[in-house]
Amino acid sequence: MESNSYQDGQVLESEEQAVPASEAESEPNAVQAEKPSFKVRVNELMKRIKYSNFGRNFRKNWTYLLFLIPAVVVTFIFAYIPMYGLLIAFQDFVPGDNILNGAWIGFDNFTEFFENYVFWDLMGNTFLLCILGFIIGFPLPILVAVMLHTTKNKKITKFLQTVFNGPHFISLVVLVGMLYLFFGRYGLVNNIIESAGGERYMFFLEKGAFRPMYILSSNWQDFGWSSIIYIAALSGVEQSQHEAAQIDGASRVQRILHVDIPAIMPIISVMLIMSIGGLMGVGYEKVLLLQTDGNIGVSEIIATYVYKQGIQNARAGYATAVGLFNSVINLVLLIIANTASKRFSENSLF
Amino acid sequence: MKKLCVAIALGCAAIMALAGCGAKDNRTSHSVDDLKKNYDFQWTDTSKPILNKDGAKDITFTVFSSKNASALEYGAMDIMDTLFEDTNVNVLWKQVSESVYGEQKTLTLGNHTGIDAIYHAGLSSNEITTYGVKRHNLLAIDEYLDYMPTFKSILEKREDIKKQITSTDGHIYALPRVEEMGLLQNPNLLFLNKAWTEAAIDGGVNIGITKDAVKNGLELNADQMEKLLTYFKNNDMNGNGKKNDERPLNFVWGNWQGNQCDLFGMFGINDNTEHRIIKDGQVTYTVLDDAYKDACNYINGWLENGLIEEESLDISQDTFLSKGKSNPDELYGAFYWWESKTVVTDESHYICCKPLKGPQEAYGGKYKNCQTVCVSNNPEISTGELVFFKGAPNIEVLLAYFDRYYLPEISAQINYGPIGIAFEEEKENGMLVPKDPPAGKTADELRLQNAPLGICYLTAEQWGKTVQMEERAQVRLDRLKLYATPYYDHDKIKPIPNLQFSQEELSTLSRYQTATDNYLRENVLKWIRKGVSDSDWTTHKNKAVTAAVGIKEVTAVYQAAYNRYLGK
Repeated sequence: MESNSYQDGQVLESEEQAVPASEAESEPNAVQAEKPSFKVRVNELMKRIKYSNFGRNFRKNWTYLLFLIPAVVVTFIFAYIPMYGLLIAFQDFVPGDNILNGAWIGFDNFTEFFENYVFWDLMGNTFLLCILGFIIGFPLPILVAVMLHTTKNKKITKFLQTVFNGPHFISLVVLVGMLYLFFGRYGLVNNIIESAGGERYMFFLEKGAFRPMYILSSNWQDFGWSSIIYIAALSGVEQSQHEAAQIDGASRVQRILHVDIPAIMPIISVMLIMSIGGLMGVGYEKVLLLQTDGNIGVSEIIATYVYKQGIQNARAGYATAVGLFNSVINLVLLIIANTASKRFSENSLF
Repeated sequence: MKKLCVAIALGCAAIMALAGCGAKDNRTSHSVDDLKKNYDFQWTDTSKPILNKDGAKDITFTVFSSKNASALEYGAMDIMDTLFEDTNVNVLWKQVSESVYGEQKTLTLGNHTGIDAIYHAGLSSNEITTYGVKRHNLLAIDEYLDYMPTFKSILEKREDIKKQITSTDGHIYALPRVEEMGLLQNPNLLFLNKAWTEAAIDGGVNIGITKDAVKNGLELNADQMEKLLTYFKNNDMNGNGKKNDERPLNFVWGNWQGNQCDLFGMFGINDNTEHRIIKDGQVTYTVLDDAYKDACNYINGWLENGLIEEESLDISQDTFLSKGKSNPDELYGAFYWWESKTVVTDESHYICCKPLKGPQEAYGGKYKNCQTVCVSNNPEISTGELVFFKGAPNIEVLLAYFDRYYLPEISAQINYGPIGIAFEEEKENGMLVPKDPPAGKTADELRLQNAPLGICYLTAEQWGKTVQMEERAQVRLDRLKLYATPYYDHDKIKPIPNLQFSQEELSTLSRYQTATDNYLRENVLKWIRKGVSDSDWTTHKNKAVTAAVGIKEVTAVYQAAYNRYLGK
């Protein structure tokens, strides 16, 4: 909210500035035909700012704005300053080169990537992995949250919530180790398959097993954690609405559909926009850990390619270009999602 | 408000100041004449100190290096003390663990203030070209060869080493590690369970050999092996009551040794994990040979019948070793590995076989006389071990110091550990003799702890003259001489040496490498697991040479570099 009023203030300020500026010029021309001194002009400007909306707001709220300083400073230092590193996407960069004065090669890195034969495979693999993960992973926490919320026994709710949160704290490497133990040729899953009369299945060598294994394990790890925000939103639903619905004879399912879901809809749409914005931003670590000769056809994604080119082949410029391209896709997706959401539900991020 | 502004301003100033004051190198660089005059600098006599005592005090060098987790700090190693006493060159080691080094390498190459050299640099030829040829960050060592008498004489003697380490612009940017024991070329040996084989013969498996013949050097063809493995699979060989825990044939897919490649030898293919080899002077991909199709289909048959343990395809080295050792019951009928000692509990239960011969009747007897082994591209010369930075002060002294590492006795101690720990104090016939490790320690542990490894020069002429080979290496070498090295035509088939690529060639390689690697990794495994039909094979042969896979382009680059290496 604070940032909004700040922005508004800025807009107003510039508008106001534009109007009196012409007046200020015409007046002295008529009377004195002499330009006001620098000091006078600065004083006037300060005065104008002081009595503008922005100035008034600022003076009223400056103690609150002060609290923003750490956040702004941290974001600036760690998010905005490093952004100049993106310049190396347009350079034939070798670590140690001066970034601002490097070997500029224009869009060559991008052209090389687009013309590379692996381009469409990478795009397809990344997109499929992400979109499937999203389709399963997005509704799951909402379902879980609603489920936990409607459970009458609060003790069980608390217990289940703790249990569901547990997997979130397992490190990736350990998780993949667990997968190898459970799904390996002589792992638990294969033992069950065999005792049920099936053939042992090589989960790690079959192309078809990679995506389900990756997506389901990720969702298993995170559904509890992601449901926290929805649970918090649900607990804000007024009890009186439920009571009213009950008096009207609404069943439990009807109450969920017509009371709970509408109540958390704003949160859902914000989360939806944010997860679409981060759709293509899948990390390389887990994919790389699960990658084998057998599934490399589907497990080579943009992130692993960037890792291989940037770290292993030491082509920092090229890898940055590929990464930047990925971020641009993410940004476009974010804007599309935001616009769509604004139009249809009046909820949006910006 | 004012106070706050001042505070913020001061804070910013502090940050700026911190960022601004990177380490500065304040050491003075002396000219060689000054060094000679003030510090008695000499490099010609390798038995005398390089500097005098004043030099040890005044001149220091900082060498950045990775070290393995169990090694002592190099400054605390006996061999480093010895070298300091012998030379009076004061080297300060700045060390990080191997796991951290990967990240620090690029940073250090980019900003090397105060660092003179990187030991254990592990630079790829790509990196050497980038930092040496392209950006000129690295010192061209060839211009200082006069200060390195030992190394210079090595290069004069060994044209091939010189070619492998000389970049395309004619300069040498990195010092090599040369350890020629002849162990690396053929990485696999086939071991067979003796008791199981004898039991199989007793059990009526007719493979045309008697029990007496079951000893080291046994020669089997594919059909005989198939019968044996089938028997292993169908019977409770280890007698633990479970019929299906026996693993007939084992390896670790795609590992640098103990891999699947020797199986292709049954079909006359000298495969390796890169599938790239030099055949009649031409860089060749083994996967384009029609015999490869037959091999894949044949091996696929073994896999589908459970003769090859299917877990071999995605097993890790650690699991492979623990399966071989931990169980009270033996599980392995046969396996490919570097040696048998590390794999199984009792070495004497396994015999080392000659390479398998091809199937006698299948494929019209086409492969009946085929019998060859994997020829790997693991070079015994690693090229990017030690690099120096341009502009480092008094570099002549440091080069003369590292030149000492190539002296035979120092090399041995660098590589195995110091005299008194790794070698006996007393020499035998003028040779350094390995010392037995104290109780409770293995030779490997001792070596990792006390030897810095890194640059050295140990070749055929040193073994048996200045240094006696350690026992395990000797065992493997003897086995290789009998069961691997004679089984391929050394004039016709050659491994690919370290090649130097130009910048254009490197960019071609990096353009196609991902596609080529991924294509081969995916398809070879698929062929082995599912077999390959004739139409699939035709599709593959057509597709592999298109730009989408890039085998043709990669081959051309390697061929050009190899021709340069040959001096054509």
